[in-house]
Amino acid sequence: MEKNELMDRLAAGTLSRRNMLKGLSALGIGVTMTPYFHGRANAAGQATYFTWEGYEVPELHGDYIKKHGGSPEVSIFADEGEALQKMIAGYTPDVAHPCSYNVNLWREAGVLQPIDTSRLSNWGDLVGSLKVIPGTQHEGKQFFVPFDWGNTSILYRTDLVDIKEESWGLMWDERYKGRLATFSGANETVPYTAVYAGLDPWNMSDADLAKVRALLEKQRPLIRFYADDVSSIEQGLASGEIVAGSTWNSSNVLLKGEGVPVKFMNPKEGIMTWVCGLVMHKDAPNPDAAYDLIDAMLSPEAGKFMIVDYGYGHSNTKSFDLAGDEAIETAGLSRDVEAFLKAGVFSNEFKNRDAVLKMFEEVKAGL
Amino acid sequence: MKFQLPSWMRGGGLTTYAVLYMVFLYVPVLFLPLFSFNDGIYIAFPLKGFTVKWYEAMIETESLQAALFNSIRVAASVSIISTILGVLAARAFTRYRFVGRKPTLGLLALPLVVPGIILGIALLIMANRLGIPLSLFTIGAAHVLIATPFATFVMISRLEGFDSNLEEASRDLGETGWTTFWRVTFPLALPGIVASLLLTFIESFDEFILAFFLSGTDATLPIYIWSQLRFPKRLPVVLALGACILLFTVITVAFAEWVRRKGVKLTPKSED
Amino acid sequence: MTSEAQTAPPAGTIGRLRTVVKGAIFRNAGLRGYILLSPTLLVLLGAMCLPVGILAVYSLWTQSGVEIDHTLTLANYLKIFNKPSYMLLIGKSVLISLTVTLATVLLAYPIAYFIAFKIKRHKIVWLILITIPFVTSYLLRVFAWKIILGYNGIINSGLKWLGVIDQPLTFLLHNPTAVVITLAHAWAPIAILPIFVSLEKMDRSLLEAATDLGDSPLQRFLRVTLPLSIPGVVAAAMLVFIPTVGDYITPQLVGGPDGMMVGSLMHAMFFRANDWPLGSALAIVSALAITVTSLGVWFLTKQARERAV
Repeated sequence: MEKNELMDRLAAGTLSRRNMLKGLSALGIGVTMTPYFHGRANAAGQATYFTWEGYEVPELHGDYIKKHGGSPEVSIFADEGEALQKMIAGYTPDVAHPCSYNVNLWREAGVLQPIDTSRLSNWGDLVGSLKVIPGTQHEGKQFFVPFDWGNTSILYRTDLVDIKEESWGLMWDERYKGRLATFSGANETVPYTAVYAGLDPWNMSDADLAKVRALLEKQRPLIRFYADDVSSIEQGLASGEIVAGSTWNSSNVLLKGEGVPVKFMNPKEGIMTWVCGLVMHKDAPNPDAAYDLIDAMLSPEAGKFMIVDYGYGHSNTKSFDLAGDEAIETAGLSRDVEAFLKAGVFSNEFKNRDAVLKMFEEVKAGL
Repeated sequence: MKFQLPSWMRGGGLTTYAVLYMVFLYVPVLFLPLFSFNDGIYIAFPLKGFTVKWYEAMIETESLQAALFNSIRVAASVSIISTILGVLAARAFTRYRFVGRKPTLGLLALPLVVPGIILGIALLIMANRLGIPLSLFTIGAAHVLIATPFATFVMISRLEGFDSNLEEASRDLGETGWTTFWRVTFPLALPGIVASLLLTFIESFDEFILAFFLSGTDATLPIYIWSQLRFPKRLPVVLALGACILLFTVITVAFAEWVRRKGVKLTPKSED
Repeated sequence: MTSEAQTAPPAGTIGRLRTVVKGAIFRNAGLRGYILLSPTLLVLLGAMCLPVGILAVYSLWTQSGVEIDHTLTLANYLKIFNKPSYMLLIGKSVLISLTVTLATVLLAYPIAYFIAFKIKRHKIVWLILITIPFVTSYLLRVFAWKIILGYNGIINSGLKWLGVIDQPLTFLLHNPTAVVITLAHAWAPIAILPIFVSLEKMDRSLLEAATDLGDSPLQRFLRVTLPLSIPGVVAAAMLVFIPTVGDYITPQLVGGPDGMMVGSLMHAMFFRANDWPLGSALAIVSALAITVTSLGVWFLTKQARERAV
């Protein structure tokens, strides 16, 4: 009864619409005027980490949380090109996460600072060959701390695809017209096309580039969609909309976990391998926190999570001991990182990057 | 007493159309709640089973809540500011004939003829040159820029052909400019103002491209959702959020309507 | 509210100056117009002209790598105009957007009419009902269309269940039609509201007059209602057409290779291919194409309206 009365009075009270309007505008102004910069104030001194989604989980920076009492501020990018443009235009995170072949470009663009590896306690345990990837050092200074490594290959449905031998040629197989998908990034799709054509992707002449372009134009009508993200390829494979698509190790782990019959191909022309890692922004506002974050991500505990939960390799040799041989085998990785990367075609920088990038964009747009 | 259908249900074809149109509007959106209860990470039929775990995950995801609150704040500010600017501009255009009226109107429409991505990058460079740090403020400023033409067009559409004699009559009756505004101009413009507030709020709440380029560390909801599209595991959580926003909007509207009707019913009683 | 009488009469030079200025303002309608406009204009000039200026200058430069060559040249424009495929892509984008606009406005008009004329009470409830679905994210709505049109989506699984098909239809998603459907749904409220506002403010006595003169409902609609609502329709069309030409999110999510629009290429030039100058030139050419198309539509409706009256 009392409750009803209250409601009645509430209703009667709002009879004067003016009061209700007043209340609403007060609420509106209240919401509007709440300081815009509160997030910043709370996070004083925390590093800002600019990365792909999925790499910001607390499991990957446990030591940082222990020291700073919380996770770093996170900002997500979907494409390394977009991330670079944003930083050129003035966005200043502390730590970012490009792949090795982009480090030169980023350094030339003036957004990186050299990293003092003596400040990283885990540096000594990292795989030696990953520290000296071409393009990641300049004038004797280290600009890149290797973090994760893995493959790019074709993931295909074993129940829907009928092939005699594993080859990149599946991406040009007319039988699967409209049931193939590939990455929309030139860094992913152009190299395997060149490999399929028997060319060196990183040193293409104009004639080579024309051959690759012709192949890509031939591929376009067979493609169901160019994917900006792995999730659309994963969903396409799960539903059977596509029977094969280019993707990374984690898709394989994920879809197998879902019970989808898929296989991560080891093409006869060579599987693509890559290394990604951490860099520091030239004007990093919190360099101390940035070093703590990088160091935390290099820890064996973070590495174990990468191997077991994501199926990617990690740069710290101790991570493999922690993860165990069974997990390494399940993920299709190897303790001998150098041999693993050399067994495939390692992702380098394109010699004529601008021409390659522009060519692929024109092909996609149907120009 | 003769039974009568409410007015909107009489009228044959048009009513049928209206109902079908509402189905067209709502059906795609109603799949969000449906799949937010689906016990599987892929958004595909058949449904795998009932679960509320995505809602539990949503409550635990702080970054999502922060993004939602950021979006509400930006959208509320943008709708108020751009509607004020729109009302002022529309009033100037409809009330006064002045030199350069047409070119000025064209200038006003300029933010609409520049594609969002280009405007985004140009504003980003400018913010950088002026040393303005990227934040919700820069997103809000960009949204005001694109929402103001919307607000202005809606207000011009409302105020065009507006009988200025009414205002003159009011002034002749000795009212001051201010009272005339509140008693005559404002009530007549009110439907346009409401439409403008709604339109600009949605415009800002939903805007992705500019927000993407002009955001610092604080994300708005569309930026957050875009980042989640990469990860099927997180997508159902986003669907759960979509369902909650939908439910919240419906409840708010239903409550407002209930209060209004209650108010209407009580009126004769209080006069007894 | 403070009335004029309560304030002390102005005294001294400042007071006289106030009177003079006030007088000038009251006498000069143009000045008053600009004073009203000034806040809006300041925002637009400061935040529009500068960025657009940067854009125009950029389109005359060239870029290799991260280095920008500041020599002024028309090379980018020549590239666009000499290669027919560029213009074809812009043309295709304009065509897709025009189709979206036509579909959206045609679908929206009856519902705006319905709310303005058939609904006597609770109009605001209907307007809110229309906007509710659009408070959910645009990206999620595009995703919802993927669920409906998708390979094992609503339509395909429904038809399969009915036994109409045994293999899912693949022509539903990843093509230009999917882009049109998705955009027509996404921009619906943007079209409904301006049309509704123009119908709502219409002088009802004109309609009564038409009926008194013996017009049938259809004649009355064509002779009175439609011409009077044209400003709202044109506003709705512009509000839908212009932003959709530059959209690259929807083509990316549902368009497939053939649904690609010029926005995708511009985005790529800025963020993938490191050619800002070419991207800027593309933007300016696209903006010109949008302007020409918009003026064309506006001119045609103006002609049609004059003929009707």
